[in-house]
Amino acid sequence: MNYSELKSKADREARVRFPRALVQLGGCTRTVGAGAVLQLLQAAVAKKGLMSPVLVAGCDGACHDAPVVIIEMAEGLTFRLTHVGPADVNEILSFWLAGRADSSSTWKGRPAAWPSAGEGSGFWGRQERRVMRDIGYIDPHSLDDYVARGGYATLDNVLRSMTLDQVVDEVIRLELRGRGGAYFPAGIKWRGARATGRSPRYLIVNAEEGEPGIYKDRHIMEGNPFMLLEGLAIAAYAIGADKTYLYVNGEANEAAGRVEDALDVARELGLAGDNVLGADFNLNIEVRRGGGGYVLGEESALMNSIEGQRNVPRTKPPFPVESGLWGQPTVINNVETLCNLPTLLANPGADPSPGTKLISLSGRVQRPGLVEVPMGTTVREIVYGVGGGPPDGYDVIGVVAGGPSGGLLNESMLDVAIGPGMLDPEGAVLGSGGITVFDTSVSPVEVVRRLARYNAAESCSKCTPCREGTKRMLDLLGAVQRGEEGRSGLEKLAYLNDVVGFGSLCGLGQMAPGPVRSGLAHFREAFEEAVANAE
Amino acid sequence: MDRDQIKDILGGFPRHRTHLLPVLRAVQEELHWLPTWAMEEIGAYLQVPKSEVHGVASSFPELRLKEPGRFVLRVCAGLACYLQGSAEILEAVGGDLGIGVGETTDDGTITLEEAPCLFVCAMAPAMELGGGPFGRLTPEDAVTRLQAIPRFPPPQS
Repeated sequence: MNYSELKSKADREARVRFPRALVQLGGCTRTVGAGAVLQLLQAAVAKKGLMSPVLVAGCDGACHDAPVVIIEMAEGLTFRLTHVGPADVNEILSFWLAGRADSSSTWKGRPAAWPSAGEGSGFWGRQERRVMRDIGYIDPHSLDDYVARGGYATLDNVLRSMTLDQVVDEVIRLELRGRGGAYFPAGIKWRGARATGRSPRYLIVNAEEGEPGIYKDRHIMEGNPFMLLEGLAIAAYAIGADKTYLYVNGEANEAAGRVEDALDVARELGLAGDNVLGADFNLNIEVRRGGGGYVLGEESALMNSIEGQRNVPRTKPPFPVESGLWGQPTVINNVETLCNLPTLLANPGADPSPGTKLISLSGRVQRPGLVEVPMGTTVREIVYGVGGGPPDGYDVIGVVAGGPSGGLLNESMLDVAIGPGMLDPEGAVLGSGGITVFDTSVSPVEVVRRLARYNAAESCSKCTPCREGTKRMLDLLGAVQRGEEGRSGLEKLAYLNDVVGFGSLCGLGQMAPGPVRSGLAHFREAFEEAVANAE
Repeated sequence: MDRDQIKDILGGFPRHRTHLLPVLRAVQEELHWLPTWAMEEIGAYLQVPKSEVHGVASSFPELRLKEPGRFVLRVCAGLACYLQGSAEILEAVGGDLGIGVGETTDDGTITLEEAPCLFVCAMAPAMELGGGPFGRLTPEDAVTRLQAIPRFPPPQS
């Protein structure tokens, strides 16, 4: 099918899709019964002999509201019902079918119409939803839903009117940076692979997402898999990739299932395979699944796993763009990076912008979830504005930014703005966008020790400083906590930080000291207090 | 389960080393773990030395080289879950089962593990029981879920 056929079919379908219900079912919301809500609602609708569909959507990021049911009554008349339980199914049906729902309707005492006028502040107010725009509000199995909202217009335009070089140049000009954590300019990577002049060339979509505290790529794949397929098609075109590996985390079954379903549809309709959208462009995609381990997200370890080798990193250089899979030029892009492409390239001639970042917000906040905010938003706005601050009766004392490869910020440092790279020289990074908030219910020393425990367990053991050093760090932190180490214990920790950081091959070892170093710097009192007991 | 049934699974993959991890995953899905004999079969099929099959398999934490109980209970040990009380969850389920992390109940029903992260951090604290995920848990909820699992020795096949 060509694009105009796809679009007119999608528009036709969009006009007649009402009414319908979408149950926001993702890996997250399944843990609180969204799967049961879906089944019960489907059964109830079938029992009444209704034709209106009850479909699955992804979680819109407000995981704290889950389970959520979206009801699309008519164009422009959508309702968002939150905290739905199995016992609410009849109530939902009467809300839906009574025909009395209008913009003033309420659900559990709150306005139900969506978007709600009251949501201009709080969780939604500070967000700028580009990648997340439709997630939770479209059927991820429906290409029509995606195309009706503008999907595949960019790819069609790119294939019809831009050369490979033009796409690369435009992405460089627009300053798109990788959202996997390194923030390397995506277009430069693509140009590097092209410049080798060698083929076959490979594109790997890194959807391994194995960093604790991060669940953004899962949300994207569960909520809008066609957006990822469009984004990777643009990248594969610009690179001149002969083959694309879509590498999904081994435990992210919900996400992998939806991506595979979308890929089947895409292949059937000529959006993957030979001559995509009728153009002289072949898109050969193979889905792979991981086998776990933090290091697998490191690109060279990931390539080893595709080759059937051990899950350990390789020495760099050479970099993957020169010598990647089987020694061939290979580009590795993160899911979020690729999903920025369809909107980024939709407006030719737009000014470069730092764009947005998906933040996985967790820990001791009232409204945890997945949020998309402009680069430059402060951590304080995210923690208090979006997240609603700590539970009643507690005070935030700090956050972990960047997970076990990042570091701690104390409360007074939360005005730092998020941006590519370091948020603080002692360790905190934006990374893949994890922010975990901790409060007065926990000791910062224990926060550091938990992160160190993770790093020690996940070291792949290839480099001795990382394998042994992370374990000694963990032992020392335990001893400090138990009051068995004096001030010299803190000095030993600082020394180990340097050894592990300098002596490790990959980012995991290099950044493993971050939590300890930043903890010592920004929560000095807590550490001093712990060692004072021993002296 | 015998070697012939493994061979059916293997037959679905081209005989190239790139398929080693996918094959290991597929075989584990069938057997719930990777016995040595299965890794030998895989090596023979993909023409990879069995020592290297073992080397690769042992580098991926999701691959099991030891037979687990019929149900695996994984309590999330991630930071977000810890901050929301996962230590209490672990203590409650461990107490109920009478086993520690890494151990299996005497009747072979349940293996208790800590998961490094279950990636549902906004639903903390979380656990996974027999593949089913549960979030926003209290220790009491967790024990209730656990007690829904029938506890008797597996039927002899």
